[in-house]
Amino acid sequence: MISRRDLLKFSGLAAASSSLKVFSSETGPADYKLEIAPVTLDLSPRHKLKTHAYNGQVPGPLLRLKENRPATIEVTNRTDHPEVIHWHGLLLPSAVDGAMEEGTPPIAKNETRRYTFVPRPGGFRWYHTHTMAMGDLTRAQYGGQHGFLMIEPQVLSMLRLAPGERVCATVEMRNPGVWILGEVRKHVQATGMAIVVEYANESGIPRWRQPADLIWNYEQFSGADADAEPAESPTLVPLMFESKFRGHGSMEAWTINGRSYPESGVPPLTEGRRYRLRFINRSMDDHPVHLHRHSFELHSLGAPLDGVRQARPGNVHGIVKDVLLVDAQTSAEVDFTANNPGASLFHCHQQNHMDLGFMMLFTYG
Amino acid sequence: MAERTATFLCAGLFLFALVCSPETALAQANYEIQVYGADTVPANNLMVELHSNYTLDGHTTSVDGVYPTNHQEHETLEITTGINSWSELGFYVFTSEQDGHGVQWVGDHIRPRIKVPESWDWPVGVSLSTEFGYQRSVYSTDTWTWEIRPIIDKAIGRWYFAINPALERTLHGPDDNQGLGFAPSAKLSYDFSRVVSGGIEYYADYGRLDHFAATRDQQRQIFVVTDLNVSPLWEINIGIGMGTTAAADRLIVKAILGRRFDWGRRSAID
Repeated sequence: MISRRDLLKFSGLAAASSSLKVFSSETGPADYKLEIAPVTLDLSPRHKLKTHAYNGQVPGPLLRLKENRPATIEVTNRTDHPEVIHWHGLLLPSAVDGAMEEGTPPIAKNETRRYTFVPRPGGFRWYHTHTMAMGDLTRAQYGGQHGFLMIEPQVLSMLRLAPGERVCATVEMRNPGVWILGEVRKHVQATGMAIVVEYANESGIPRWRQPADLIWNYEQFSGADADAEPAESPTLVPLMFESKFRGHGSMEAWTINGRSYPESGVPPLTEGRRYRLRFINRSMDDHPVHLHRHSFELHSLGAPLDGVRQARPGNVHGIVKDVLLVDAQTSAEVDFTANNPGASLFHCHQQNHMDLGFMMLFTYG
Repeated sequence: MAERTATFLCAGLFLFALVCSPETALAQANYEIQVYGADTVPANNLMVELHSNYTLDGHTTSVDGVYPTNHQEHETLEITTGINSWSELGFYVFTSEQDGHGVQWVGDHIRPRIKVPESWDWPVGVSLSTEFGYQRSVYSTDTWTWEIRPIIDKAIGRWYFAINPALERTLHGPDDNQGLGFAPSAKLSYDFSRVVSGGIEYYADYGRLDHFAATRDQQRQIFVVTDLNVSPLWEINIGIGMGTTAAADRLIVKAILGRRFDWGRRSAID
């Protein structure tokens, strides 16, 4: 039986032994250090439980991470068997997800290994061992090897919303005063695109804090492995967007694959099949495109059509939307499953573009 | 519908020209052969234009000390700055090159202009320009002149038309007691493609507004022109014009090359 005083000896960090092996994928200090070691828990004055735990406590320490900010967790294994930690609910590469079946390397006895990853999505998650217990009730998920993660959502200074787009944002009201919520481009805000947010019992001239840079891209919300491909290859459906000149005194008409709605055609789809829509925007306008009755997962974004400019690097996997802004002279790809039979309209969400031909009807089932 | 509207306006303009009674006309100076559109140069922008006009077949004798126009090459530099969203200020330097006279400075004009703001949502573009300046007596008997030019234009589909019913007045010269003269111009063009437009430009000087000159003394010319819309930053206009009255030069070729510069380059934040 281990006394409470002995229990305290196992809390916190342990000194490295001469046989300790350290595998570091990143240099620099770790954000957190976890030690997996045997522990005896006092469940009650008369009941003690021998198990394994993180840093001598059950649950393990709360790890607070910032969404989309790389973090490193250094894990030391003081048990007699290989260990691994699974970061449950996070969108991670297989190499650090924490399942040996996926390819995450185990941490051998007396080894230290670092998990470095970009935590996403935001929210309350947990971490736990992912080993086999078989008949040993002190091991794996029978034991005390679990803890909690708080992935704090990333703080943004601005949002960009194309027509038809929407975003759920949480605003922490912790800065009393009278503020302006508005367009970040001065000439647009000057036309009236702003409102005043006034805290109770506050007064004064509304204040505006101009973001120094207007940085916005979808990649900051991605999560899945950048190299991951679905098990079943989706069927490619190319959609080319072009404008049609109708005179300098008229707005341009719009075509998808060379034709304007209602002559834009109906791509044949099969219920249950997965499709990859490739948006090829040959026009000089950005287009917020929308697919009715379905959501799609982003696959790629922002590839220049000219083949000269560098493609903007980034991973957009894991982002599910129903409106996507396709920049001028770029292509983008989204995947969706034809799981809602019937007619589904696809169109640019700019009213004048819709009016002038930028629509196409998908139908199946 | 749009085509009928454009045809109606063009026909109306020519009908008006035909019914006007003639009287003594002012001399026409082919230094800037352009029908103005209603739009002004954007704020913080500078438009630099070179007007090049060559008289292939013009007057061969001097009249009242003014050099004959035949085989005169006119190069006019026009620099216009946008002041705000509804006004601009232009400045001209007129030059002439001709055998026997070399390259000569002709004179300078200044031209402020205002336009009806787009926020008023008028069905046509409207602006008002006034031009004032000096030209040497060997190129014009009227050395100080003033012009006020209403401008109306409209684009409908592939058609474009513009009317400049300009009024002129001599401030110093033999015609300074003639009152206002009427010197209208008009343009009708068609977009054959996004880049190439073609059409007709009409320029006239009827003489006194209250008593038009005789037809033979009026100056009327019709140009066949093309505009090349290669870029929002460039202006390219080329044409050939024929005089339809005895007082007008009989054959002129013209070209306008313009480049717009945005000096108020702004960041994405602005």
